[in-house]
Amino acid sequence: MNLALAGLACVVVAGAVVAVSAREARAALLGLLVALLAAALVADPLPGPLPIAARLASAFLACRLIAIAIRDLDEPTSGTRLGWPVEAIAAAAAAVIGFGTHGLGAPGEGAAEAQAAGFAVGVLAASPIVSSRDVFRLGMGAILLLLGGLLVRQGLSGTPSELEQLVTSGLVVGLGGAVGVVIAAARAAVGGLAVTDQPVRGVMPREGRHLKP
Amino acid sequence: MTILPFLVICFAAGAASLLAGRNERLSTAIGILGLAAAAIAAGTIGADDKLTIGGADLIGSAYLRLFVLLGSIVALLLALLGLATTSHRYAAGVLLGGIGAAGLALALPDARVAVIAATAGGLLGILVTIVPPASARGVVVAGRELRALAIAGVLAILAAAWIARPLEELAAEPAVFGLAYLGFATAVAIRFGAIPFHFWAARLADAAPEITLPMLMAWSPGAFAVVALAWADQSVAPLVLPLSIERALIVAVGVVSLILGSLAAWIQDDLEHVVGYTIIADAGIAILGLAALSPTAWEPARTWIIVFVMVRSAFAAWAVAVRGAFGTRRIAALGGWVVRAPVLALSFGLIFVAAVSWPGLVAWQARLALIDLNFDGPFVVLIMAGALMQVVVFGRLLYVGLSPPSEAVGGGLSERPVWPAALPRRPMIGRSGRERALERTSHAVSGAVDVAWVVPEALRVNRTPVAAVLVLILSGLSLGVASGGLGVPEAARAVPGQELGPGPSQSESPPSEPPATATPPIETESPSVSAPPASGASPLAPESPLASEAPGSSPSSSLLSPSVSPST
Repeated sequence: MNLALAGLACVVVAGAVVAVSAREARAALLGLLVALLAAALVADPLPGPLPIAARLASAFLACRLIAIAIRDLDEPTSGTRLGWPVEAIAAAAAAVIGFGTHGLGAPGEGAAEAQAAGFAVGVLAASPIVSSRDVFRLGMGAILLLLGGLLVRQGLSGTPSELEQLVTSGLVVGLGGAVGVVIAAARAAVGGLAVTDQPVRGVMPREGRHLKP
Repeated sequence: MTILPFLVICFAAGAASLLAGRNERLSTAIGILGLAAAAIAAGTIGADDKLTIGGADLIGSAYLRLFVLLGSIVALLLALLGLATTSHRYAAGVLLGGIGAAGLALALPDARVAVIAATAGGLLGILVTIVPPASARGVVVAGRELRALAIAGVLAILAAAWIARPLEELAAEPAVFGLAYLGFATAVAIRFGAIPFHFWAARLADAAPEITLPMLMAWSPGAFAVVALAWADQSVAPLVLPLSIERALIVAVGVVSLILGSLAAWIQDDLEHVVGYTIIADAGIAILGLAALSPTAWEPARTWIIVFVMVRSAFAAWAVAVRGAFGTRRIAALGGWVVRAPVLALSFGLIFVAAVSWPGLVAWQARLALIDLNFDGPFVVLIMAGALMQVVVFGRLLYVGLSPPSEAVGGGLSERPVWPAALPRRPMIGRSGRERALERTSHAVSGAVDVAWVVPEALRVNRTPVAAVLVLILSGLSLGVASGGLGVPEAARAVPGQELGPGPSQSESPPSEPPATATPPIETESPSVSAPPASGASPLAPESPLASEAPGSSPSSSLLSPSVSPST
């Protein structure tokens, strides 16, 4: 095991845990930024300086686009219902599985740490992408899901080419822009982050529950 | 180097158009100029062009040239149609970026990079899904779109990466290849909004501007499907693996989309929903091309994809023009539209012929070939009949159009051209020949200025006939493509990086026959009876690219390189 890569993988997972767990949107965004920045470096061999620069710049730009959309946001995100310890434990379990199954049936060309981080980030993304009505969390989930896929890809097929890194940078910026647009539209439409186009059935309002016999 | 100008124009003009989004006129002008330049640049792409950037190749092909050329022209016509009807401030930029991303994905022979480009292009659609003023419904649709794009993207990225490396020590060959194949096919189905992954796509028709629907639901997913087809033909099809369950699942998605998409289009009362569901139905045929898992499917699948995206673009444009003319998308309120809008009726007829087609036409043959590759006997007739169910959809629209005029149609805009103001008359007062000659010259210049001064207003009051003419051009183009014009079959048959040849195998056999393959394709009699390898034989054919690789070398270099065609 490469300790430097393992450390970077831990940083990626920690950032992702913060991104899906924090109720303060800025803190969650900071977690996403950390995950995106560190993910660019979890590769063996390390990419060249230009691809790394492109990935870092795209991470900053994507988070900046989301930051613009959450400017002056005074309400917290819905956060995780499980709590950050549960998310962290689930991510750790997924990371162990990812590390242990490196290559998924055949020897992997990349770093096992990348696949471990990819599995962990993918597990963390599952809950917000499947069930969240909060568009901020949905956006976090979408970005983390693709980030997890890219990390597993790095673990399976090795360090991407420079052109692939450039295209990946475009994808990250596009994701940030798309999430920013959706968040801004949600705030303009309903004044908050939780949006639904249909009434929630089968759930009593919290304050009315005691009225039911 | 001929690919680069097209990409630069698309991405630079697209970015400029999006950045100028606050000024809608400027944004649209940049977008339309960019689309015109992109169409010119697309026409110059060389079929044997190769460009290496950052350690990866961009490879030109006749199919790439045709796809992006038609895509640019369609996008240009749609953007102009948006000026004549309704549009979105980001529409032109999204059309540019979408066709640029599609071109980049098709130019990349490495599926691992191509799927990332295709996913990034799809994200642009979210910009136009939310129409100002933002509504909760629009946000929900955009959220679903984002979710679908992310899931489809990650499935495709993982599938492409999983088997693009040395696999000599692969533990479970059929399972790994089957899962990767199923994952990529599922990603394509999600991108197309195929049933049962259609919830986001069905709502997209409500939220997104009509002129962008073809790009969001047909062109971008179409490019994604072409990448998937190339990947499957190069990485999975050459191996003789028992993938009957995986193929049956994919065939089921294709058939269900085909049948239920046509049924849903038939019962819908909203024109845009009809357009959306017919796209889903046609996408079912494209998915059958992926399910065939045979080199024989290469040409018909690629032909069908380009035909159906063209025909559905024309249908979407027709729906936009009808709404612009009569102010409603409700079919029940469109009584008498045929009589009121004869040019649109002519376009409708062309679209009908291109969509349904007849035996001998390229569109018909491609559809029949894809169904025939997956089914046998009476099932071919049944599925073909299901594919022709859209006759009922068109028949319903025609029936409504021939019924007595409704209030909306009666009060709608006519297609008859009008001139907004009478031109002033200038009597001749000169007496000598020289005076009269000078006066005539002066009158001619003044008259030209008068006409030029009124042209903007004339365009405004003649929006409906202008839109009708644009739709007629697009419909004619779609019929030309459906009948095999513009070299569609040749382009679909060609392998990227090689000169136009007789087929993906580059063999001497005629295109209608199965290419001479070193590895026998999987039996295609029925989705449930895919032939497993012969008893006792290794599931990995000895002549397959994987088997021929020297130990330790990466099969990705051969599997994904254009020199290894789907049938080599």
